[in-house]
Parts: sequence; C-alpha cells; structure tokens
Amino acid sequence: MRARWPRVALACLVVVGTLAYLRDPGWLIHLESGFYSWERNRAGQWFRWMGPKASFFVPSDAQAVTIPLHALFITDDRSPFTILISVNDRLATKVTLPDEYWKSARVPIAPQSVGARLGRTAPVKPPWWSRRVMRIDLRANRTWSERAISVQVGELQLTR
Amino acid sequence: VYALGLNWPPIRSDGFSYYIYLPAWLIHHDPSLETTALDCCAGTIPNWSTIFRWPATGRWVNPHPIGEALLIAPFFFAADGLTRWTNLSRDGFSLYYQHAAGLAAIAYFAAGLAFLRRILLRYFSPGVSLATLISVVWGTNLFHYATYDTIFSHSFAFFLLAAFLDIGIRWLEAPTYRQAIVVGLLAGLIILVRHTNGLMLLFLVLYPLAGKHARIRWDQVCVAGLVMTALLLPQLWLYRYATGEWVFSTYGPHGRFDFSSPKILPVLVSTQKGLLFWSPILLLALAGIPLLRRHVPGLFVPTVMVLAATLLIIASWSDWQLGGGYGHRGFTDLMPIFALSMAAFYEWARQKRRLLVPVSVFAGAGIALSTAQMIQYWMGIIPFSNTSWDLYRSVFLRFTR
Repeated sequence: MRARWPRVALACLVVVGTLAYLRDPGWLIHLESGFYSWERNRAGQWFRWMGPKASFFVPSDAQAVTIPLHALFITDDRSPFTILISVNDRLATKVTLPDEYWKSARVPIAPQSVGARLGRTAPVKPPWWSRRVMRIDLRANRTWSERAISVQVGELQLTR
Repeated sequence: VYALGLNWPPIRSDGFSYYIYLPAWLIHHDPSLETTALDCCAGTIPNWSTIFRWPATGRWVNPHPIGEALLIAPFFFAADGLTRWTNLSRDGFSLYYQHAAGLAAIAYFAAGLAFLRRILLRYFSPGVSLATLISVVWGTNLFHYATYDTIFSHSFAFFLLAAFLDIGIRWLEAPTYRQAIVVGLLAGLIILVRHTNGLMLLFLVLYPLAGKHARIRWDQVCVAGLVMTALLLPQLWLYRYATGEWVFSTYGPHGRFDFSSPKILPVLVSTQKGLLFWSPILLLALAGIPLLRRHVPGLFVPTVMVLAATLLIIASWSDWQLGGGYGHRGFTDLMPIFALSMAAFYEWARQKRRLLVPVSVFAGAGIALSTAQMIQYWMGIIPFSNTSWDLYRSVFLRFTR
C-alpha cells in the first residue's frame, strides 16, 4: 500500500505533462488534412486538389493568410463551387468560384493578444496561454470525380 | 503501421461506415447521417463506404450496424476531449479520432487475446496454449486485422466471441445474475457488430447438450435475453427510420445471396481468398475439431454447425471474397473457436512423439509464410483481391515491387 502513491503521483504527473504539451504542440504548424499531393499546372503554378474539406494551421502572429482557389468545370454540373473558410471554427469568409479563373481569398487572422482585443495598435506580447497557431478550415459545397475532389488550392501566402 | 505511412487513415473503407455513427450521434447529434455527410463529404457519402440512400425514403442506410461504434465510443470520448484541448477540427475524423479508433481495435484485440488465453488455460497445458496463441495471431490474418486494417470489424468481433465463450461457459457452469447480464450484453454486441455473427450465439445455446457441468437457470436466461433485446432496439429503430420497413437487406444494391450455387471450394482453397490457402495453419484447427469432444465436449456440435453455416453464408454471397483484404476475413471473427480446436490438435500431437516434429515444422512454416505474405500485402505486392495463381507464383516471397 505504501508503495502505491509514488506510482499514482507519477501517473498524474505524466497525464498533466502530456496535457500541457498537447495544449499547443510544435508539430501542429505542420499538420494538415484534406489535400492531395502537390501538382503543377501548365502555367507552372503549384496547386493541390482539395477534397470536400481541408484543414491546416498558420502562425497566430500572422495578420492574414491568402489562399488561391481555382475551380474546374469538367462534368455536367456547372453550378459554382462555394468554399467556406473559417478560423478556429469562426466563419471568416465565403468564396464563390463561378468560373475557371483563379481567385484569392484573403483571410484575416484574428489577433489573440489582450492589447489587440482592447483596440490598441501597438504590439502587445500575447499572454502565455494563447496558442502559437490558428486552425484554418476550408469546406466545399460539392465534390466531383471518383477521388471526391472539389477545387485546386494554390500556395498559401502569409502576411505578417 | 500508421507511423511508417504504410496505411493511412485508419478510418476508411468498411471501417468508415462502422465508425460514422459516432460523429453523427455525438458531434452532429443527427442519427440520419445527413449532417455528417454535409460535414465530411460535401453532402454525399462516398460509394466505397457502402452507405446508400434508400430509394423509397431518400434516407441514408448504413449496411454496417452500430456495434463497433458502441465499442469504440470510450476511445472516441477521449479523442474528442483531446481534440478540443489541442484545437484540432472537431469533425470526428481529425488526427486524434483516427488514432483513437486504431487504438480501440488494438485494445480490443489484446483483451480478446487475454480472454482466449484464459479459456485455453482451462482446457489445455500452458505450452499448448502459448503455441496456439502464437499460431492464431501470426499464422492467420488476425494480426493483420488488429493492426493494418484495424477498424474493420474483425478484431472487435474476435474480442466479443472470446469474451462470450469465456464468460458464457463460466455462467453456464456456475450461473449468477451478474454474469447473465454480461452475457446478454456480449450477445447483443456480437449481433450488432456483424448480424451474421448471430450464429455465434449457438455456442452457448448448444453447449449444455454435451457440456459436462452446464446447468440452465431459465430465469437468468430470460435476463440475458432481455438485455440482448434492449441492446438491439436502437438498431431496429435506425433501420425502420431509414427504410420505413422492418425486414430488408441492409446491403441493398451492394450484394445478394444465392444459395443455389455456393462457392465452397473458392472460399476454402482458391488463390483469390481461399481460407486454407492463405492461412494453411488452419488445417490443424480443422483436424482438431473432432478432438474437441475430448477436451471441450460442449463446443463440438456448435463448432461444426457454426463453421458449416458460416461457410455456406459466405460462399453464397455475391462477393464471396468480401471485397479486399488479406486472406479470407469472413472467418477472422471465429478465430477463438479455431484456436480451441487447434489447441486440441496440438495437445493430441504432443502425446504422439513421432508427430511432434512434423507438426511443429508445419506450424512454424505456416506462421512464417503467413507473416511474410502479410508483409507483402502491406507493401502492396499482393493485391487486395483477385490474386491469380500466376501472380501468386511471380511474387512468391518477393519483397520488392
């Protein structure tokens, strides 16, 4: 019985340590889902096909991220593609792609610092509990082809 | 398997439709699957999942029942909490959900092995029990379905049958209400993981015919039956809601039975998916079935009946290969019973000194071959279905593509 508490304490420590680590792990910035492999079009532009939805992370100190989007209308369905873009589950913008021209969506990254929330313009050091990354989710209104792809997504540009 | 990128994501193919109930119920609160379809798949659930719209009602019908989702639920809750904590997408399919589902299958596989070990040790020596466990895990496709194709239903069904046999036989020999409730739960889950596995209930139903110490307490049988029925009700409600009917084929356009010309031989010995071709060690299990009468007499008759009925059902299904996979996965759920008959054979061979070496060599070769071919399958060298003899010979024990 006496030998039990160190094991319980160690287990608690491991759980707390793991949770603390998983709150804002460094690898999140590299985590993404919902994209196929990189390809290059005839104009030399890099893009990836997106499935019905895709997610990726951007640094939370960025001002905005620009997402180039491009639709192809190969099947009989000529209805426009609509892409909903949200930041940390809040809808940021909605992009409609009615034709085959590239369209860039500029998505503002909501500042997280206390100073920014109070309307100060001077940079304020973010509190220790804020996350280093923000999650961006893209959702398409429809897919096509057997691969269930929606639109092409070009290289992202961050504005700091 | 997943860390090396051999196969990702865990939730895919049949596993997707077994799992989809969890995000539908617990995140989207919509059992019709419509909200989940919108969220995951732009409104249309892919064909490969085998989920389809019922023509008369226009609602989604999932051919795969809810049992596996119930078993994964505790892992899902943990993943959901962590997902919120790390700020990943709370959609039921992001990173933690994928790993939780994979870990669930491995956990149930391990629990199934623990139950199986306990049954084996009741009837056989420790050495024979250990040899049997090794043979069943690596001499068949069981390990594959616990790791690579992890959330296909097979490791869950394996766990349920092992627990059902272990707890069920104990209950029959020394009945208590507590065990009756557990047996009822296990029986319900067995049917809810794969409806045709309802045949497995015969193991306990017929056990008292020859079981040495079995005694039936009808009041407890009623309790077990009530628990089982209560567990089945949500599934019946789902079917009724989706189709408006009580009796129908859950697979709809994806397959049908034809009992007039069952493909018995292809199911057993073909290069495509033959059970004994891909898991030759099971020959020892088949040889051990008559020996069950000596060690576990109560299981002899039900084993013969369940194996014969399972063979007939699989061989009569329009896709008798059961889609893609390593070996014939239609029998993976029954590995606990194969293990018992295999152990009976090992025990018999152990007493015949001149058989010990050839049986050991055959078993060792069977395990090595099955493991090697499993790795070939993981590497994409062996295709997921329709392997021909020519292809098999051309890639035999070859580990480069």
